[in-house]
Amino acid sequence: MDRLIEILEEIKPGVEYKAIPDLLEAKILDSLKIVQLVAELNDEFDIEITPIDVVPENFRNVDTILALVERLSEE
Amino acid sequence: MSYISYQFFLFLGAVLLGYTVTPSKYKWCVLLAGSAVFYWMNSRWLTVFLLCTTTAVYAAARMLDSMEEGFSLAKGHLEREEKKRLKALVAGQKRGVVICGLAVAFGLLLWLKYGAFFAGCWQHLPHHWRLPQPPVKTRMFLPLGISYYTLQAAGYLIDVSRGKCKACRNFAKLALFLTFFPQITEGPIGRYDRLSAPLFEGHPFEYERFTKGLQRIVFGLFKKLVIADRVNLFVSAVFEESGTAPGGILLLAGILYTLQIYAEFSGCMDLVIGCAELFGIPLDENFARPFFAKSVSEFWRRWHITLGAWFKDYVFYSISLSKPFMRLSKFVRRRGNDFLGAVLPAAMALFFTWLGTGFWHGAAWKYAAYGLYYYLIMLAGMLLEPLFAKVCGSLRIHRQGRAFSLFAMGRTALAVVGGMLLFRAESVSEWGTILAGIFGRFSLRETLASVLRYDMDRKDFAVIAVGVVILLVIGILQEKGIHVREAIARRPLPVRWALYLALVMAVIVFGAYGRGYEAVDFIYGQF
Amino acid sequence: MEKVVRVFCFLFTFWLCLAFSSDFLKPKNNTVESGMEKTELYGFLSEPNHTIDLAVIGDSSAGNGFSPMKLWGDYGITSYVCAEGWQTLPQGYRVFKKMLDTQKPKIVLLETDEFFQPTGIARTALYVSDLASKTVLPLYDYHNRWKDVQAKEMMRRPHYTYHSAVKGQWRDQNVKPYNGKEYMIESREESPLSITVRGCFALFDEICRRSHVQLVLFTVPNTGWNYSKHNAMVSCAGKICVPYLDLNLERKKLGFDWKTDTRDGGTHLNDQGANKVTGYIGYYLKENYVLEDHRQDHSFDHWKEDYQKFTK
Repeated sequence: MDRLIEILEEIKPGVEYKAIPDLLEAKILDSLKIVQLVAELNDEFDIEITPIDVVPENFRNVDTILALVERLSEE
Repeated sequence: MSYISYQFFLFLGAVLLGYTVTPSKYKWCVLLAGSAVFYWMNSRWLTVFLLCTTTAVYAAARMLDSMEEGFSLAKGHLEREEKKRLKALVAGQKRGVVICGLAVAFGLLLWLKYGAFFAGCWQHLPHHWRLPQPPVKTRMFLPLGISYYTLQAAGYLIDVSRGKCKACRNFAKLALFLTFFPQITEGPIGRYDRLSAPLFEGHPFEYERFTKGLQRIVFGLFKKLVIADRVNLFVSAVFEESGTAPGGILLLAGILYTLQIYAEFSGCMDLVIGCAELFGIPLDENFARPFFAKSVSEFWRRWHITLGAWFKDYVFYSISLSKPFMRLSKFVRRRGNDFLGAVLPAAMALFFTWLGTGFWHGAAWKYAAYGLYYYLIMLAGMLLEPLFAKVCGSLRIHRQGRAFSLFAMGRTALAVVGGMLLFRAESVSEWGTILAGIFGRFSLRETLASVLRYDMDRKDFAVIAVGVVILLVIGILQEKGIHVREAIARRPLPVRWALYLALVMAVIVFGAYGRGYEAVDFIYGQF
Repeated sequence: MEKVVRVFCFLFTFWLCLAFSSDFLKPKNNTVESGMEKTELYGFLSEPNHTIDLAVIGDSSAGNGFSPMKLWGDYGITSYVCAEGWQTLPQGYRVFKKMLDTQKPKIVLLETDEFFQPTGIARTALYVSDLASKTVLPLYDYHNRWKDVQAKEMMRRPHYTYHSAVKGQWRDQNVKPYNGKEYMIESREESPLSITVRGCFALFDEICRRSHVQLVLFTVPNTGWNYSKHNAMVSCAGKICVPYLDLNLERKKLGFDWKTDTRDGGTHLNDQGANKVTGYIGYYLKENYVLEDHRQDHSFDHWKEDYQKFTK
């Protein structure tokens, strides 16, 4: 969790990530930022996020991103 | 049969009548029959190409489904390691099938729409390479909506391969999904997971929905006939003499051309979505007040939304999340350049996305330039973002404030006008001439003196101004989250009726049609 | 039920809006300045009421192929040619009905070329329906006059002043001979007539009977004509027992010559051709019908003036 927040901070600093229910609605994450995020996550957690996983439901907030990471690490 | 003709509305009425009286289970057949008639009347024997694409995509998707089924049956009794191996094998096979399916769909598109262009380029290659010369074809007639249904078919196939939706088992239903007659000429480009259910299940006739659909259709006609076709008088007159017209006039023509395309394309979308609404089928929205965008990338999320979304989902992510790109990003970051590492893969993926978007609009270099124009603006925005933030910080400019927002909207709109001028120009060099004209021959006095010389008189301008104000007011209301049609529906009957009748009568009286006006084809219908 | 009433009321209000704005926008005179299109076609609007005894309806063939002034000079019969380019039968029907508002012709000559001009069902419906002719069509034709129309025109009743001295004829002195082969080759074939044309012709016949106007079909010489079209018209006229004159077959009696009597190589006639056609038709009418000779009547002095101009 903390590591994820750190990564998000690197991509766009100065956002209270845990408090925001919808990062997409709040226009904090756009498609370019998502690509950066995916690259970092792949690296950090040794997973492979494919375009199938890049849907709004998975990137809505910190919890959903974490759930995605956990699901993919188990596979 | 154009959407703006009484024949189309008679046809629409007939299909709607058939749809209403047919039992629910078979209602979709009426839509398919209507779509087939519509397509055949427009394209005759070119319908064959549509059938080829449909068949290829249908077969490929079915194969993907059976592979996936086979895999899930087999994987039950396998060890972890073996399962992994089998999965990789199946994934490879699936990729092959998808590539074959896409090759047929895009092969037809490339051959029909871009064949002559590629042949032309081929001939310009150096002679000493001694390449065989292909026969140069003259421009063929294109099957109706090929650029739209190809993307829609490809999106469907990729969705099936990604497991986002199941393959369609009924060929006729898939054919309906690809040819649904309101959306076949200009989109919106539909997604199978959202569109299939409402398209195939039957909806009974509903009075409220019917009237709302009609309202939307009339509003579309208003945009097209009252605004776009009237502005067209001025725009075509000015671009006839783009080399000599005063700079201010050229700029005004650029702005009005942007208005024309917007009114026409979004008007057509209102008409299309309204038509589908009559049947109870919700289509994706294609416009969301694009001129309220504060940046060019936001503009493209509000303008021709389904095209942008298509390129984002199927091109941008496919490229930027692919293994080579991920490796590249890692490599650059290891070298210690974090910023570049973050931006580079996205920037490169965006390049292909925008090149594709540009070429999608037409087979000519100027369309490639059109795509790359937006690419460069976005890239500059991305690279300069840190600097810009710093400048704003030191000047204490509040970037969320209203004044800055207005400035950002104006800046974006100007960039878009520049792009639209390129879109309208015959070639990149003519675009250069026009831009040079705008900056080189700019004189306010001359502009004001000659503004009425270009086929539009004072009264025409007044109509356009009123039209723009109406669009603006509706846009502001919608930005505030107000559903205009619902808000009107809550008013007392006399107010409601007065508004509806005023809109219809405005279309009839102020529409630029009939004697003295040429019927203007939809610009986006030519792709 | 309540909804049905509501829809009906809405449509009625809509129709009122259409009727009002078409009344407002349509030209209040038949001159070019007042915004009228096809002034020659609608020139009959300014003829004094009930003075036209013969109406000629048709497309350009009729416009170039008939001369009311020649008919006046020979027999004293008053006539008007209501011709428009590419006129279709529904359009001809609409013009004829318009004429019946102010004139009481005894005979209507319907040129048959327009039986073969294609026309869609919706268009036909618009042209033949009274409701549409009063609202939709004037709006379609004249909605762009919103720029010119002035508020004081709104309530004014139409007043027509355009005067056609040649009573609708399209005059042309050019000669461009037709050197092609004979085109009326006898055969038993019959060209099919579209449903819209047949339906519209039935309406035309009906309105003639109701208004006591004798209907006569005729064909101006035209090298685009042929025998199967001729046969179609013969059976068309036969069914409702009206006479049909195909002048393509009467060229000898007319003294007609394709070398001198056409302006464009066989499609349209010139003035000389029109005079020959008119001479023949005048003789035919005199033999078969009772039409008044107005040449001694002082209330027709304006015809005499026009005739003097015509013969100059």
